[in-house]
Amino acid sequence: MTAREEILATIRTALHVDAANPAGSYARITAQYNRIGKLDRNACLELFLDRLIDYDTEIFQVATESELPAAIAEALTLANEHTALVPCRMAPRRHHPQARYQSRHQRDRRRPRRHHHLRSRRRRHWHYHPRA
Amino acid sequence: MSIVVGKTSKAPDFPIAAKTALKNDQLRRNVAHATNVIRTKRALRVEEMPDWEQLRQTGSEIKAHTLAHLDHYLVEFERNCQLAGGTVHWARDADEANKIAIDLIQHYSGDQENIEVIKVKTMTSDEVQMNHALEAVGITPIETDLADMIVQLGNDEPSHIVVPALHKNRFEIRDIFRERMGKPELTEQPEDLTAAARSYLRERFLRTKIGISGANFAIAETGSVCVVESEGNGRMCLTLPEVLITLVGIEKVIPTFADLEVFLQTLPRSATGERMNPYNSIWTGVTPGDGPQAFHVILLDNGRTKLLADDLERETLQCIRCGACLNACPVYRETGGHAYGSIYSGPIGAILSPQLVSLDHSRSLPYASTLCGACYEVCPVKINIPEVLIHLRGEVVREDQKTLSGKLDPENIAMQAAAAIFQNHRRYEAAQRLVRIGQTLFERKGQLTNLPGMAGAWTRSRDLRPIPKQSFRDWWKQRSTKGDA
Repeated sequence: MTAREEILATIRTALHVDAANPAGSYARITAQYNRIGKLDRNACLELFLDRLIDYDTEIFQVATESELPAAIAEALTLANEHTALVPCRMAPRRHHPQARYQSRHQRDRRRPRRHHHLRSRRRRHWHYHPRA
Repeated sequence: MSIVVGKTSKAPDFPIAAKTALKNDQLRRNVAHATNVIRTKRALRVEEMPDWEQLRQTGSEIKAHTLAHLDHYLVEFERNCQLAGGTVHWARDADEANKIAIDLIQHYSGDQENIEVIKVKTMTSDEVQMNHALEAVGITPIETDLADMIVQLGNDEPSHIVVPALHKNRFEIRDIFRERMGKPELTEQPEDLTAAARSYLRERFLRTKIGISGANFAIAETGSVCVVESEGNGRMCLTLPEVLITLVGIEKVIPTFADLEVFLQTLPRSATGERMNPYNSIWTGVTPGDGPQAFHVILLDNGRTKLLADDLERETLQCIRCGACLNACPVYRETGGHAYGSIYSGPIGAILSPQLVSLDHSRSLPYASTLCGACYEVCPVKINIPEVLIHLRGEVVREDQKTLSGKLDPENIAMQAAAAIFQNHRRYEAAQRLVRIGQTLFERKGQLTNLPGMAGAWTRSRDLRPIPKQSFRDWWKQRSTKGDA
C-alpha cells in the first residue's frame, strides 16, 4: 500500500465515513461574526486615523489640495530628507518648488539612507474637512 | 512506523525537567516578561473585536467539520494543487517525510556540492527533526526566521511554538550572534541585532536555490497554501528560490478560501497580539516566470490519524498553532517550554505530544497542568484542553494498571483502597475515625504538615486542613437522636 492509500484508509476507518455529504455539513456551520462593516464614512476615517497613530505614523491633514505641497515639504523637513520618490501620475508642478525629484534609477544608485523613526503620536492638523 | 515528535523519546519527565528550569532565574525572567507582553497585547486586540466569540465559534466549527471529512478535503486539496502545477507527496511518518525532502533536494541540486536550503519557520519540520536529517546527509538547512535563527545558531531547542527564542533576552542573543557571525563589536540594541541578522540572511536568500516551508493553511477548494509571518523572511523564502518544498500536517487543510476570513482575524490576534499578520503569503501551484518553478507539498501524518477516532482526542487536531494557550498557562509561564521535553510545549503540547506518540513518551505531560482552564478560554478554535488533559490522565492510569509494576505502585494501591472505602458507609466512617486519631501527629496551627510518604508531596507545597472533629454525618445522627428523645 502506498503512503497515500494507507493514510486515507486509516482516516476512513477512524471516521467511519458513511458517504456523508461534506457540502451539506459545511453549509450548517454557524457564521454569526461580522462580515460587513457597520461604520459610516466618517467613523471609518476616524478609526483609520486612530490606527495610524497606534502604529506610530506621523499624520498631516490638509483641507484642500493646494495645501498638499506645504505638507509634503514639512514632512520631508521633519525627516531631514531633501529628495522624494513620486508616483508617476502625480504631476511635479503640484509639489513644493524647493523639492527635487529623481527617478527610481537614480534612487537605486544612492547609498542606503539612514532610518528615521518618527515616533511622535501628536496629530499635526486635527481638522478634517471631507469634500462635499 | 517511526513516529518522531522532536526529542520526546529522550526527554526527562516534566517534574524533573521543570525543577531545573525553575532554578534558572534568567530563564524565568525572560519567559515571564515575554509572555506578559504578548498576553497583554492579545487581550487588547481581542477586546476591540465585538464579534470575537462568534469568530471563535465559527473557527472551531470549520476545523471540526474539516476533520470529520478529512479524507475528502485532503483528496480535494491534492487534486487542485496538482492541477495548478504542484506535486503532492504523502508521508506516513517523520522518516518518510525527511526521505522525500532529501530525495527532492538531491534531485534538484544535481551533483552540486555543499547543498544549502533556506527555511521558513515551521514547527512541523522541528517535529520530524528535519534539520538533523538534512545535516546527516550533508545538506545545510538555514533557518531564516529571526528567532529560529537564534535557536539554530545557539544549538538550542525552540521553547515556544510562535516565539521559539522567547527564553533568551537580547544580551544572550547578542552573545550568540557575536560568536557565530564573527561580529565582536555587536551591541544588544534591537536595531543592531536585526541589522546583523538581515545582512547575514540577505546573502543567503539570494544564493540559495531551494526553500523549505511549513503551512498555516492548505486550502482544499483552490489547492493553495498559506503561510503567515511577521518578518518578511517567509515571503523571501517562498518567492526567491527555484524550488519550494512545503511540509504540511494533514490537519492543516481547510475547505474553502473564504474560511481564511475567520482564521486571518483570529490567528494574528491570538498569536502575537497583532490585528493583521504583517505578511500573508498565499500561493497556488507554480506560475511561469514568477516565483519557484517547482513546488512540492509533503502531506504528513506522523501519528495524527490515530487521534481521529475519538471525538475528544480529535479536537486536538483543530489547533492552528497560535500559542495563546502557552502565554496564558500558569505552568508554562513558570517553567518555559524546554521542561516539556517536546517542541510542542505548554497546554497544547501537553495534549498533542503524548497523543502523537501514542503515550509511548511524554506520559508526564498530561499532569503538567493545574487544570485552571485559562488555555481553553483563550483558544481561538475552542479546544477543550483541560478535558483532554483529564482524558489522557485516565489513559495513562489505565495503561499503567495493566503492568505488574503499575499494579503494585503505591499510588495505585492507595487509590484502589480509597475506592473500596468510599463504596461502603461503614468503611468510610471507620476510616474517618482512624484519620481523626492519626492526623493529630501532623497537625500544626490548624494545618496538616509533613505528611508521610506520597501524601507528603501534597503538603510540601499546599495547605491541607485536618478533617473536623465532627463530620456532617455525626452531627446529623446526633441531631436526629436528640429530636426523637
